[in-house]
This record gives sequence, C-alpha cells and structure tokens, in this order.
Amino acid sequence: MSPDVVWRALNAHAIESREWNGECVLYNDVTGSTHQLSVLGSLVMATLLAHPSGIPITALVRRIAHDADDVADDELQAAVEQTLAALAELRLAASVPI
Amino acid sequence: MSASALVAGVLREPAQLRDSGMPWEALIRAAREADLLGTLAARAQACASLDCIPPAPRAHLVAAGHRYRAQQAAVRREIGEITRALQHLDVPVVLLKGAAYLLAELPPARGRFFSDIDILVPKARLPDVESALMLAGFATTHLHPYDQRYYRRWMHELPPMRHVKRSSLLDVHHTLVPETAQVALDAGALFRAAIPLAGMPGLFVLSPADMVLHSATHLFHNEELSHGLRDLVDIDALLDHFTHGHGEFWPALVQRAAELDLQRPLYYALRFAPRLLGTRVPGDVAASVARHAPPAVIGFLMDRLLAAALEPAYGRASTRWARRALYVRGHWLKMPLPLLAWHLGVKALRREEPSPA
Amino acid sequence: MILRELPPGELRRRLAGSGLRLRIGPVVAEILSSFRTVETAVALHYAGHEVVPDSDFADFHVAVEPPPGVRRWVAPQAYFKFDDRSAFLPLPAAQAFPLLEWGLNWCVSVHCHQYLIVHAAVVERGGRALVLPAPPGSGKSTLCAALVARGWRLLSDELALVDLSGATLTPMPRPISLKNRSIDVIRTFWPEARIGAVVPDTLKGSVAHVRPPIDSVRRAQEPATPGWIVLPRFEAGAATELRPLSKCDAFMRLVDSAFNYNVHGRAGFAALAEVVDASVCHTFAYGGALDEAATVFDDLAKA
Repeated sequence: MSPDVVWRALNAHAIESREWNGECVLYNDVTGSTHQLSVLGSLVMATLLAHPSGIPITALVRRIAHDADDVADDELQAAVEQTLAALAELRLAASVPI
Repeated sequence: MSASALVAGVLREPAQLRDSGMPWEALIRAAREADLLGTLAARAQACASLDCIPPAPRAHLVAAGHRYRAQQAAVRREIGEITRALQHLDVPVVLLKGAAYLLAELPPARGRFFSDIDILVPKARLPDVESALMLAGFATTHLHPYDQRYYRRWMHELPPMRHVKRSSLLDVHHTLVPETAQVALDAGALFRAAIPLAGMPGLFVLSPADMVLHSATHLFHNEELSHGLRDLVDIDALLDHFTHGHGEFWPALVQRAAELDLQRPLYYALRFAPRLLGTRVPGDVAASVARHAPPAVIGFLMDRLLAAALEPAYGRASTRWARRALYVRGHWLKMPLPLLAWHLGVKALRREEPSPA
Repeated sequence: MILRELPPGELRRRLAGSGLRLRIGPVVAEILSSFRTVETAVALHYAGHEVVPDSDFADFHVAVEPPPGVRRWVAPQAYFKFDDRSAFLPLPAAQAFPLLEWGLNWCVSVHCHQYLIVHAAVVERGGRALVLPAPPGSGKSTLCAALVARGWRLLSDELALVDLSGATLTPMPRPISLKNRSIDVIRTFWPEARIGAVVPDTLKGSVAHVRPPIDSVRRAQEPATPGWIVLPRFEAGAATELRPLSKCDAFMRLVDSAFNYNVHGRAGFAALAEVVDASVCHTFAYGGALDEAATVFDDLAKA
C-alpha cells in the first residue's frame, strides 16, 4: 500500500456501532448495510473513527499494537492492510492522498 | 360515501382526522388499497393530527411511516448507484415519477411508497445504458422471449431490470408512450425541456408541464389502474405546487399538451382531479381542454368505468370488471387492435397465476 | 366474550357471513371462511381468544375460500385473501386451516412495521423472554412446544414482535405449528396438549397445530423483557448441549432472521442491540431428549 496516503473512516456520521467483547457490529446508513467486524476489524475501525482527519498506515499499525498489547511487526501490518482493503470495499474507509 | 371519496377527502383536509366519528377501518383499508397509506400518514403528521387518531388505526399509519421512510432512503441510495454505473457514458438521465418527486423535493414525494425507479434516456443510447447497467449488476427480468420482444419492440422501455444483489427494480424508458400508440410524442422535446438536478450532474427531471402530462398519461394510458387514485393525488399535488403564484403555468401546460399530442390525457386529468380532489382548474383552461374530450358516448362510458375503477377492489365485483375493461383499453391505446388480440391471447395462455374472478 | 362462549351456530354464521373478529395479541383479525375444517380448527385453537364486536376496529380482513366455479368441487382448492385479493397461489382445500395460519403470519410480517419482527419463537418465564431465532428445520417449534408444555408462557411460535425501543417483546399467542415427526413427539411428551387434525402432504410435510394454553392467551396483553437468546439446532441422537454464543454472533443472527430490518435502518440496529445487550446468549444442540432440554432451560431461568 502506498505510504503517501492517510486512511479515514467514510461517512463517520452515518455509522452506528456496538461492541461486545472486542468484536463489533456496525450499521452504515449510507449503504444501509450491517456488518460484523472481527477483533482486528473493530480495532481498525475504532482507530479510524478516532482520527477524523486521517491516519497513515504505519501510525495505525502502531496504535493497534499498543491497544492490543501486541507487537507492530510485518504480520500485523499485512493483516491491517487486508482489513483496510476489505473496509474500503464495504465503503467504510478510504485512503486519501496527503 | 365511496371509499375513494373518503380517502380523497381526508387527504385534502387532513384535519378531518381529528373527527372522532371518522370511519377508521374503511379509511385505512381504502388508503392501503390505493397505496396511499404513507401519503395519509405524512399529511396527518404535517398537520399534527397523528396523535389525535385512536391507537389501533394509528398503528397502521405509524407502520406506513416506517415503510416509506425506509423506501425513500433506499431510492436515494439506488439512484446513487445508478448514477455511478452510468456516469462514464455522459448520457442525460431523466428521473421519472416518484424518484423525480423525491430528488426534486416536490410535494407528491411526501409519504410516498416506492416500488421501482423509472428513468428516461435517449433511445439512441439505450444499448450503452443497458450494458453499463448490466455491468453494475442489473439483470433483465421477464426472460420469456415473447416478453422480451414485447418490451423492446413495442413498448417504450427495456424489460424491467432487477439488481442481482439489491433486488431493486429499475425501468429504463426511452419515451413516455409506446411507439405503436396512436399518439406521436417527440421524446427529444422532453429532453430539451428537462431540468438539471442541483448537485447531481447528469441527472434531470422533466419540466413542470411535462411532469404533469406524464402523470396524466400514466394514469389514463396505462394498463395497470390499481394506482389510479394515487396518480390523481400526484397530479393534484403537482398542479397545486406549480400553479402557486405562477399564473403562466396553466397556458404553458395547455400549449405543451398540444405540442406533445397529449391533450386527451390532460382532459381526463383536469376532469377527474377536481371531481375527486377538489383541484382548482380555471374555467378557461377547463373549456380549452374540453375541446379534446372524446365523443359523448365514449366519454360517458369512460366516466363510469374510471369512477368504478378508482374504487378499492375489495368486495366489489364491478371494480374488478371495470379494471379489466380499462386494462383492455390500456392495451388498446398501446397497440393496434389485431396485435392486441394476439397479445392478449398469448398473455392469457401464459398466465402462471390463476386468479379468482 | 371469548370464542367458546359464542352461542351454538354463531361461529359458523360469522365465519360464513359477517366475519369473525378475533383479538390476537395486539391485532384484531376479521376472518371469513366457508370451509368446515377451518371452522373446526378455529373453534379449537382460538377457543380462548376474545371475540370483538363488528363495530370495533379490525386491523386485517382475511378470508380462506374456495374458488368460484368447477374448482370448488374438482381438485378443490383454497385461496387466502387479504382485503378480497388473493395473496398467494391456492393450496389444496384440505390445507385450508394451515393456509389461514400461514396467511396470518404473512399479514403481520408484511404490515406490522410498528414492530421490528424477527422470525423466532418466544416464550417467557419470570417476565423474561427466551427468544429462539431459527431457520426451518432447526427444531424451534418442537422445542417451543416442549417449553410451553413445561409451563413457559407462549408469546409466539413464529413472530417475535420487538418494540422499537428494544425494551420489550409483545405477545401474539396463536396455535403452535408442528411438522412430521414432531407431531407424535409432542403428543407423547405433552399428553394434555390439544392437537388439531393432522394435514398431510403440505409443502412442509404433515402439519398439525397445538392449541395455545389458556393462560398464554389470557396474558396476551402482558409484554416481556429480553432475557435470553438461544439458537437451537436439532440433530437426531445428538447430545444436549448449551454453549455460550458471542453477542455479535447473536446480533447478526437476529438481523438475518428479521423480516423488516431494512424498514427500520438505524433504529432497527439500535433496537436489536438493546435486545442483545439485555440478553444472555447461547447455542443449544439437542437430539430429541425433550425432558433433558426442558431441564436445561429451567436451569437457565433460575440462573
């Protein structure tokens, strides 16, 4: 993934979510769709929502590692990139060039 | 009082809902049958009468409110998807009927239930539009080869398209009346007069006069009459809105009807809307369109048939018969008689769902 | 007045003529039918339901009638009509009563958008609702009948009516429908159950209905608060096992089982979230040992 972008949640005002035990379910009023996110997906989404002006991927990975008491290694980075791609397809997140 | 008169009266004067003597059951049933339960709910809400209604009938209006709000949100989303699918084609897309009222924020949209979305595109671009829609996941319905032919060659639209994932229904038209009809309508004129929607490039709605005429044509040419009262309610709401403070609208409407050869449907619209809904039509306008009234005998029959057809179907054998007679009329207006007989024959043979008389 | 208090012949007269108006939970249905089997079944299953005067508002007007003409006698059929319009394709006349029941389910699920409606059985104990959302074949109705046999109050065997605040479930006690083997299973497990005629050869197999207990019908105006969400799964011979279910999974199951989730959008999401939040969530595997199953739920209710 390109390093010259930041990632943002799309249509934050249109998103409702509830979290139970680390996982979350989410409703997107723009698409009318409801989603179940894994623990990682929930962490990514929560971090994006906490950074409305966008966050670059490396910072995102560090943030998640910190919150999950984990290590910010290549494996985590790859997992986060996959998650972002999935969220982009669901129109929950998008990358914006800096 | 007839059921349609009851619904029409309450729509005209929603404050009547505060009257404890209102026949609630008859009203709810008639409004539901005419597909106007949402409209009734919206008008009740607008005049703060919803809370005056007893809880049992009120629940139906509340339920209708949830339904129409959900459908309207869905229509907006769907139009977004359609725009996305077609934007690379640089083709003008004119929204028709409900979708147009909604996006142009016109009164008939308030409380309206939506089923499909109707759009109008230039005939020459139909193949491109169809391909682009299919790429975006819209699949054609009515797959029987006869139906495909019926729609493509004889009607004024592609066979209805349904999105494979979202199940939304889309009707793509290239004119407002079928080419085989006795009426010659220049679709180009519709596009030339179409009005762009603010903030939505490539999307248009018909001009006010064309919108009224389309609604009139839809009501009086169409095969399906179950939405008869609703179409009249639309026409009444449109006329009320467009004529408000705009004295020039009436002559423009009459002239446009002449240009598009739609004087007969306009005559019927301006005859029935005042009768049922109290629509105010200036005397000179009424006189002017009366010149295009049908011969007296047909006129008398049409009055009786249409009045009967506007009644809800339940419990009234005459309504079902009237609708069928008008169904035949709808077909007749759409295609030459020999073709009609064959068409009905085939349709009857292919009827998959037997319905009781 | 409740239905069984009607004078002799009155039930037939109303079903065949002016319509029988019954209060069923939050709705009043006006029912018409000239089928004798429908009259018998209604007399049995709705014996404890309130008959409402013609002058009271009716929410739905339904009829189960034969077609006119020769199909009345030759390979006879039954139509379900809503406001005089046929809602589905006809079924063989022998299935007239099941058709009425399916038709009433349709009426509610298509029109009652004042609720969020989930395809689930709902029973109650101690004011708390046990919601059993499950696709056909999961054994939901058999389990529902077994629990009702053991004293749980019946709210519904098919339609969970969730208030949009997410705070309550509204009862609509109606006959519990059973299929195929479970008819005999329940006959054995619940000897006092009043089970109507078995109708063979429907699309679902053989179908019969169990009359709702009079107590469930009497308390139809008493809502319940969310208590438990349990996803049942029947598998012949399987061990009885209750396992925890993640709330997110329970939530998504409710979404998938809701008839009108799309109608409510954001508010629907919030309502179901409230229900899940307030509920203890499990999956339940069982192999037909209904005594064991009932004990598991008794224990759940005591916890």
